[in-house]
Amino acid sequence: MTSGSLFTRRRLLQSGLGLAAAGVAGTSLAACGGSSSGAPAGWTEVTFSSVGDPTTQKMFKDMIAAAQKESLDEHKIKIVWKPAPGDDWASVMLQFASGTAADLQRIDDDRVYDLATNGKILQLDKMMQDATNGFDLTKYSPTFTTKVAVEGYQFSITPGMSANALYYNKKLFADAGLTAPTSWAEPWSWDDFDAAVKKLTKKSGSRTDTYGLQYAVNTIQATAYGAGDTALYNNQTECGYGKPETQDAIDKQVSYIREGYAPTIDVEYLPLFNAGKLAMTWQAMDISAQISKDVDWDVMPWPKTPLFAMTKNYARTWVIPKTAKDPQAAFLAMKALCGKAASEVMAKAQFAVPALIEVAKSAAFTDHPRPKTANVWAEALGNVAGKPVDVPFPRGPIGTALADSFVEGTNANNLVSGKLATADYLKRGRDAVNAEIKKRGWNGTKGKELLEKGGALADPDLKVAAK
Amino acid sequence: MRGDRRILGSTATYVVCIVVALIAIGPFLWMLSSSFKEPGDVISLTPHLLPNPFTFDNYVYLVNNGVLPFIRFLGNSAYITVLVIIGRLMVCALGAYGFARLQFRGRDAAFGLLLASLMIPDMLMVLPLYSAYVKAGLIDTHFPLIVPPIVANTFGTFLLRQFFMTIPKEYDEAALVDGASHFRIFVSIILPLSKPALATLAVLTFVNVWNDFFGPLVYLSDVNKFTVPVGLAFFQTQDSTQYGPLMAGATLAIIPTVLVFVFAQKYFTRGISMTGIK
Repeated sequence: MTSGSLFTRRRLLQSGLGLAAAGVAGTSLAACGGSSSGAPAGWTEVTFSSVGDPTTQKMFKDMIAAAQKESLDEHKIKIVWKPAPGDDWASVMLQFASGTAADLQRIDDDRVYDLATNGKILQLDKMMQDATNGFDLTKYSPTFTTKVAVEGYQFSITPGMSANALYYNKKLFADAGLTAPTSWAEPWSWDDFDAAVKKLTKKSGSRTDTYGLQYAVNTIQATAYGAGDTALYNNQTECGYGKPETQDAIDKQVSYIREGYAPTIDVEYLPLFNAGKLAMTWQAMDISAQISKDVDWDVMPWPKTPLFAMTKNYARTWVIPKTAKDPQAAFLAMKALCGKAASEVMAKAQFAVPALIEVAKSAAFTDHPRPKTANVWAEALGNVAGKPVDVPFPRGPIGTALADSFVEGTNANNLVSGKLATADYLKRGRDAVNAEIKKRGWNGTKGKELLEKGGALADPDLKVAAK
Repeated sequence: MRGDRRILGSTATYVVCIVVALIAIGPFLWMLSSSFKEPGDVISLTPHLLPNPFTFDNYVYLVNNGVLPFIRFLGNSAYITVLVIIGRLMVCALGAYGFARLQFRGRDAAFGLLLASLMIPDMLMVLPLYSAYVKAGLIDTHFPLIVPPIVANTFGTFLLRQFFMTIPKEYDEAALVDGASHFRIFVSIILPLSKPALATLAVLTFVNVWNDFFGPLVYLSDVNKFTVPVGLAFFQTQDSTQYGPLMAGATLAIIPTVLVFVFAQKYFTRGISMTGIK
């Protein structure tokens, strides 16, 4: 070509050098930072993976370090931390599908049922009851073996749960002359609660300046169970929530939105709470880190609605995939991460209430500037008068139908945005769940049949929960 | 009278353009501003653009949080992107030359087959590809992010082939008479005349690879191999979002894209006009 060519040798050389420089720069940057550490020779490697933000991931690293020191080094087991980003389970599910999941995987509790019935994860009942390596279950909260059980069988372990409670603004309470309850054993009655919500709300005409309460739609489950109802009737062949008391309780709760005592669900609660414009908000433990330092807050139980005060806790849980390289080592690693040293790390971070009771009651969990009543969180894993504080919500396909019909989706959103009457909400939800029950021919034995069909039950006669 | 109307018309045009520009630039300004705000200041009842107080804490946390090596993520993204651009330009240009200039039996059918592969949704390929990489021991390496995007890029081959077709064949014929080989024609005639198309493909590849989230998410599990989009996803969970560090990371991540856009703006617009893809 001529000297006017766009691709002279010189230009090609310049472009090539430019790209090469960028590549070298990239490689140099890529070389920054630490390198992954595998297990030393002669040790067994157990990979651990979980989603979570950097703060949570740091806590996991610290828990692993504590567990190593407490017992795993002695067993020559090395946990290799493999963090997974954010809120997406796509990669984790793909790993399960292709058999490349980590040896110890922390997942959404809602997914355990599917993974178990599809034969992807190990049944843990036998290992948990092993006299030499198993758990001393008397040391753990009752929900440790029931929260994420699949038809009563253990396919996962939940070392801690994020307790839901009412966060309240102490200054607004003091200004209104109110004293919050400090235990699930002595919660407010609905009438006390109702009076407090109305007293705390400040209105200017039709406009609300300060809301007394904010809640998410999943409180509906706690409210219904607190009215003495359950999600399913007649050996799981009929949708529950049919009692008149349930409709009455939910209607009272929703009336706060309709009458301007509580914001609709599309309103961001955190800016309101941080600005002192919201007195009570029903939230999980993780929001405490996001509350403004200027707000003096604490936590209190949800009220009786009207029979019992209950809550709906959330838990990510830990499973061992059937593809784990060494299941026994993975179980020992899991046990160590539920042990005292690792639980104390979790307690100090106030990430969740440790299932290990002595740690949940220890200063590691309770001795923090806020909340002063951390026992409200801790009690949410236990029983009051022999009844669990945490709602025992069904799982599996019918559990999913219940969640879709009553907690998520259009029906629930229309209720809490004031567009749907409570009676219609309950009727539509019950109709949808009953249709799913009918479609599947569901009853109390179907879940176990699914587990057997998926080849999930290695030990069908062993149930930790039955002991 | 006509002059007044013209001034009025152009003023209205400017006003509309300014408003649209502000709407377009608004999210970027908000991202930049939020990256310098304290956590409680990012989402507030009284939103304000200027950070008060102004803080670099989000940037410090981003690069020094003790668990996520963000600088390394930038490096990984940079070198993967550069390698894919170089490789894709080479492979697609060679393929496109074959389809545009060489006569061989089944050429059009092969090109039709190539185009048909564009119709297969990417998501359909995820599980089979993943299983193949597992068997080949390539999971948790950068191989799936570099080699397949280079060798299996139908769009790039199509784009360049269409451009090569517009170059008069008389150039090739003259070169052939002078004794030039096909490779010589490709290097000395076709490539120099195709700079706009190559630049367009390079720019589109940059944007595509630099912003790729799903590939690194699925194929990587070692934190030291993650790329920027995956690193940023750590700040957004099901339960909460750390807006400050997320905005700081997004600001850093967008700098190369902005630089590429500034220096290759005309290729962006040409890419849109050539491909119909925004």
